[in-house]
Amino acid sequence: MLDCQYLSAAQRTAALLIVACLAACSGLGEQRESPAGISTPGGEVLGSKQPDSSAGEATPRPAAPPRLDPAEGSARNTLLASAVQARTAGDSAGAIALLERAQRIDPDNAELYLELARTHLDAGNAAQARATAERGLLYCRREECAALRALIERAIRAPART
Amino acid sequence: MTRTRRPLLKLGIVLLVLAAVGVAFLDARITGTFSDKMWALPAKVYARPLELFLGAPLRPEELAYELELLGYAPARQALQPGQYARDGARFAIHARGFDFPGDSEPARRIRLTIAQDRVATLADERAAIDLMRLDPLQIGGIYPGHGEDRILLRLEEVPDTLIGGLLAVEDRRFFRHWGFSPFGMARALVSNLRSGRVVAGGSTITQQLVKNYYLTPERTISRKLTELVMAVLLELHYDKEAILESYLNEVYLGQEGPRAIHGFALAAQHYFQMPLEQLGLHQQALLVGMIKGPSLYNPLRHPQRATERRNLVLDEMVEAGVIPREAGMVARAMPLGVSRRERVRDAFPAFLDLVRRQLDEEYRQEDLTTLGLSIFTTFDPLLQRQLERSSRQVMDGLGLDAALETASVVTRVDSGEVVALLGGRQPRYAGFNRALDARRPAGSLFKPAVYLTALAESSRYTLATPLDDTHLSVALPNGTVWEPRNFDRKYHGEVLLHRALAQSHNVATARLGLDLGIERVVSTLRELGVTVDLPSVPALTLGAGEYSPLIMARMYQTIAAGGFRMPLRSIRDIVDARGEPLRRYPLAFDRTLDLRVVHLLHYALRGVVREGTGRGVYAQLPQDFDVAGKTGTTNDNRDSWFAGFSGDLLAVTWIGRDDNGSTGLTGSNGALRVWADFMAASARRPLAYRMPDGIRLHWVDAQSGLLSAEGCPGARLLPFIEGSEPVQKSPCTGSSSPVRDWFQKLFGEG
Repeated sequence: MLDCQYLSAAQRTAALLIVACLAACSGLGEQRESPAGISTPGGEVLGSKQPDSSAGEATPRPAAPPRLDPAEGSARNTLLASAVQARTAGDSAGAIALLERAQRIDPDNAELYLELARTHLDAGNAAQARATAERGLLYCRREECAALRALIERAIRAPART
Repeated sequence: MTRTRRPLLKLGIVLLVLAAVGVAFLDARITGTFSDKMWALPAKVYARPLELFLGAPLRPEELAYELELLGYAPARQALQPGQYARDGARFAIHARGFDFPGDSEPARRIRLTIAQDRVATLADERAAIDLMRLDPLQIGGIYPGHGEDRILLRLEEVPDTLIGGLLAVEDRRFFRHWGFSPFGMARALVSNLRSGRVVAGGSTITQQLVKNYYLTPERTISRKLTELVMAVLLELHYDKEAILESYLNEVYLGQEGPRAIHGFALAAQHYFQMPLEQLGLHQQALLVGMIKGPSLYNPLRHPQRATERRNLVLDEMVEAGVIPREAGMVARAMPLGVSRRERVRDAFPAFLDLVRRQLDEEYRQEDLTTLGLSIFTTFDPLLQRQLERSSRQVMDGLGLDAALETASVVTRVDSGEVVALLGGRQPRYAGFNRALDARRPAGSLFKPAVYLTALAESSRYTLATPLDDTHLSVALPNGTVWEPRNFDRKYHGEVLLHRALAQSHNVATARLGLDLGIERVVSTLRELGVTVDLPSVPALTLGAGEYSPLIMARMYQTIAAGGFRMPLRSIRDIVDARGEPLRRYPLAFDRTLDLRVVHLLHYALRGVVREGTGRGVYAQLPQDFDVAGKTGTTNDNRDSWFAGFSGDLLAVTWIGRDDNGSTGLTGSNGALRVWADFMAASARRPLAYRMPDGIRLHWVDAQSGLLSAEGCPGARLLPFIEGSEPVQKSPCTGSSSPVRDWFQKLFGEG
């Protein structure tokens, strides 16, 4: 078999011409489908089957969970621990991402607000630290409240970053 | 004039020069484009991933729906990624895993049980897990005009058997020829001559790539020649692996509406809901077979034809020694294995519209359609489904009036994340997005701004301040006179402030707003996050102007969050094609209002649903589930509004007509019902903010607002900013006949 590595350009051209003739005679290649042209925009439509809300399920009622749910605590604490680790390693963006995930799991947890505020403060964002701690005050209990207030004080005294 | 000597030679030289120029031109075209960046990679838009953890609020039926949307196949045992087995509230899921920004979730088998609508146990094969995420649902993409979509693959990711099968069928001499195959062409020529028409093509993989990527699909001799020359040039410049990889990315494998499915990686997702690496032999063979005719052999439309074609490919694979005969037999016996899930892509046009608008502010259209960005949004398909159900149910219940429209926005109170959005009664059809683009008067939805302005001035106004609800007439600068009227066409005389809001008295509110000054009300609306034009007229107090449900959601988000203004977010993260984070949209807010003042407003808004115009919500919500909200009705019942929140969700609902005609509905008997139906099914946490420092509770006389005492007739407990409580005492000084109202019950007092 010919090896293209050792062919000169001239030889290639010659070969090309021969092959071109062959190609021309062999038909112009089989017809393959091409992508459809641009059509009007329009979403794919979900099947017309509509979920029947009355099908078998009892009317859902919001149940007020206990204020402190030990179950969701472990997921939250795992994330909180990773966030503290990220913050101490200087990765405040990573810490904030983890804390936001923790907050989605346990949204009314003052401890998370406190850590989030601390992270903002460490990152030099005193205004956000203060707002975060103030929002935490809406959820805090006892010593959590004191820690949040102390952080607000620190944020107020923190030198403004230019 | 002499005759040109040797005309043929000269003509030949000219032609040669022209050919050389042509080849050089094609060469430049190839080397200029053939690279990593040769593909336009549309941005992919994802919903939020479902977080699974112990205690996660989740109903078995919701998990099943999420898995169905994600294209997980129900099976007796979850053996392969993308399968799940369900036994009532027990699930075994083989999660596919996913690379999230920041960290990745491995593919793994998990087991979980749900009890009392919460995840009760969660474990993988070795141990219990704290938390994990399912892969996120792709809810759309941002495609270029030509509609090409693909997922970029690397050659290493492609199973050897797939490559073997491809070459066995399409180009057996691929690793030996130099761009074209005289042998193949000769074979094609013979069969074409024999049958007298074009039945076979001798195109190599290289030629097909050139044809698909660089050339138009006409079949002319000059185009065929160009294809040949380019194929050889491509082989000259690039090695076989690079050419094969490009081919695997380029090849056209189907159509979904305006979207063209290109490349094997996307085809694997499209037909099987699986990554390419995980495809079985039978699935690989099907895709290889489809190259010949993606719609002819479409397994969804022509399963019989597709099966025959697949089996032919399997035979070729056996014959070429790619797979052992036994493996071929087994694969032949398999069903097609295509995923028949409902297509969810672009099923949520209203939410995608919101995402697009945010993206368009920050990115060029070209970047969005070519850079292969992954856009992680806040969209929650479970809440969206409930919003659509509640809206449909209530709207259908309102009668057979198809022109009556509705729109809703749902956000998370704590983060301002938009989780569900309804732009009209037909949620699947992209069209007028009323949630974003309707421009309607806000009606009484603006009243909280007036009351906030008043309560901020605690030396003058408290919840117990009597307001004057008697005839009011205001001469306007244009010479007309404005005379607001109450909905019941009556005047109520002296009404305590909290009650005036709960009962939505127009005249008392308008007078209060005028006393405070319209400019101050405007400035409160700004602090609440209303950034659009506001008319500085007295009627602003009753919602004059033009506002969308989204704008109202922004205003109520600030109130629901306790006085913290935060942008409504629809995007969490954007990641580039290599998985590198490009942009984060972190939670950010600022406090614009006094927490104590907002607390007082919350009291009044809770009064709306406990004893005012919004009482209807407790027809659906349990009595002990605390929420707050406000009804809105505009002139001639053109708009029916409700905005309200629990501890976790805020929803704003509007009902009206596009032609601005009357709906015959008030906020209470229209939008409120959608809101209450949705919240009863979706809200998990009642409103339960801690009472801020500096708030004191006092007994006042419910009629006069004067200081009273526990046990006095007509006394009720109200919160006051410290020092602002009334000094004047009502005649009673206390006894013990405790009648606890909703407020005391919530406080657990008495």
